[in-house]
Amino acid sequence: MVRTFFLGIAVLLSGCQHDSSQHQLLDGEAGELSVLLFTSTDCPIANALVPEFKRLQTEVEEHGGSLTCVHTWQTRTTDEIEKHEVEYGFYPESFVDTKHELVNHFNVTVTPEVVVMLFDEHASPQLMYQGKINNLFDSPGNRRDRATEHYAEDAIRNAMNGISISPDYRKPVGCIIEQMND
Amino acid sequence: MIELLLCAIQESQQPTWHNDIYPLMLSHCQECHDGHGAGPFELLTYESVSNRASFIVELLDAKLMPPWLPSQKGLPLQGERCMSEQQIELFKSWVSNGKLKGEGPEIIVCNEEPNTYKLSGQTNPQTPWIIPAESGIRWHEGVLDKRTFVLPIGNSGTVKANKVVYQTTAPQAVQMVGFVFDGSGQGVEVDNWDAEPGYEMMGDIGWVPSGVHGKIGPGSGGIHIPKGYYIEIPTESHLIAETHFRPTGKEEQLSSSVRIWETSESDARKLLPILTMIRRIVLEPEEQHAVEGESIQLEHDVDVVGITPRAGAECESMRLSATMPEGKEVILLDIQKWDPHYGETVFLESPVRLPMGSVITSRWVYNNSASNPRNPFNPSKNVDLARRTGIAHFILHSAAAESNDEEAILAWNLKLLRQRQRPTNNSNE
Repeated sequence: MVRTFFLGIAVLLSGCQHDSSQHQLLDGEAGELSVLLFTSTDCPIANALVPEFKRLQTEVEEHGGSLTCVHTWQTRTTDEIEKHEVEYGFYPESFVDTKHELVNHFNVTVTPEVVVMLFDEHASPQLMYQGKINNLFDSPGNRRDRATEHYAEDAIRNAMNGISISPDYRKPVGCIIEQMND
Repeated sequence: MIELLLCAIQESQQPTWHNDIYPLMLSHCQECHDGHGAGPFELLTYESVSNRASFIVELLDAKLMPPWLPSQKGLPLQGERCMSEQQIELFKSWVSNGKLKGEGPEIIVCNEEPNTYKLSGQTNPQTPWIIPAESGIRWHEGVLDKRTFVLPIGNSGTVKANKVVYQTTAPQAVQMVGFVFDGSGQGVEVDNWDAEPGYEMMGDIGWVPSGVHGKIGPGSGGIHIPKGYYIEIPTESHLIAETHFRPTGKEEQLSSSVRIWETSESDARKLLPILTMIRRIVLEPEEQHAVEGESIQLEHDVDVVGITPRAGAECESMRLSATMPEGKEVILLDIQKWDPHYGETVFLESPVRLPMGSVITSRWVYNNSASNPRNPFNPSKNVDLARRTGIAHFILHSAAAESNDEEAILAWNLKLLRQRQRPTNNSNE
């Protein structure tokens, strides 16, 4: 099932943009793909998936789309993110969700979690897939040697080829995001 | 006024960071989560813990952290790392009551080892091994990611070691290190087969299994032999370190160092390895509750001081027990949820005497189905693995009750090891 949503521009402006370029997470052309990867630089489960993130980035960019890492740790600094980028050799566009507005909007609960959106003919973002990225982890303590199922990658390919994605949500496994004002 | 007073009284009864949680973190988490160790983040500041509180609760409830496998059914062990139910409830109560900070100074703990070690060894830092960002095909043909390194010790005489501390440049990636002190030169010979650091096979040296002198797990950082005992390092030894790692998502340079302390006790007793094992395991896909094991009968009196467990990820639980000649059974070690990444050597709180004639029984329960969450394969596949020093084993680090029996005990155990060999077909030995 394709779900429609709209996120006000105020949300976007309240985050601390990591890149200096104007980055509109929900602006796009009709048919364009946008992928949000909710992550945290010190979540070992998210970090173990960085090689998969890189493959997703290549896949998305080959289709002319964009991939943005949304950092859920509210006080994450630019220096910390850049250090992490160098360590892991992964240089995506990044956004720090300082007030958890994106986290709350999408009901994201853990890192890593992916949101795959496709802009429709009215340039309105449609949520195509959300949740687990692959099956490397069954639970925080149970990890396979390698992932054998690649949900986010499949979702991206299917979205670009107009194939419906089922299921369009898979419960993600990762580091629980502490809700603000708990 | 009364309301304010009541509030103050209620608050003082609620757990706070300074009074309750920080000491808990220090005693149970600090070894790994100090910002430099095996843990991926520090857990010594209020901000760090309070911003992960829900995640910590999930891990505590699932008994995933702190990592400690032995159940309470076995004998009491030294250095038990697990939190009690009361401690877990304390943490949860702190979270549900608003994560109060309370008042008090931040204490920074310095855990530097005193620089009094006897020997040291290091892999060549100029040519470190590169741990890949993720596991590749050749890394996991049904076994864990591993590589064995040979660290020269260079001791001119035998050394009675009572502490071995292992350090690595990649503490988050290295899960477990099984080590053997090798005075035979066989480890060096294998290492020299190619120019790369270390070798890809297991760390067994001849009939001596890797881990025979101990296995170091995340958090422990080393082997601390109980007072009154030592492990003997032969002259001109090399430390053979079978290193199990889990890629962390980035390439990491791995070089390792080891420091060794010598006992000053003149009457300390040598620890000998007594091995009980299964040589081969064959499992059908989806096979559950396959029980394997053996029993061996002691020919001499021994004192069991420590135990090293070993099995693959298809193993779900294991138990090591001993039946005394008069019929009394003692559970030496019981692990209900086996995880090979945390199979470190454990030492008994008090050594236990097993008289001659005692029967040592080892048992491993395998679950090769998807219901075993640690099964590395989904869907499950045929398992047919063998290893002449045990595809699953317990090493009982034991002292001979009579020192005159040491050679006889070693010879007896080696004879048993050789007797277990059988012709095999289609096994990946």
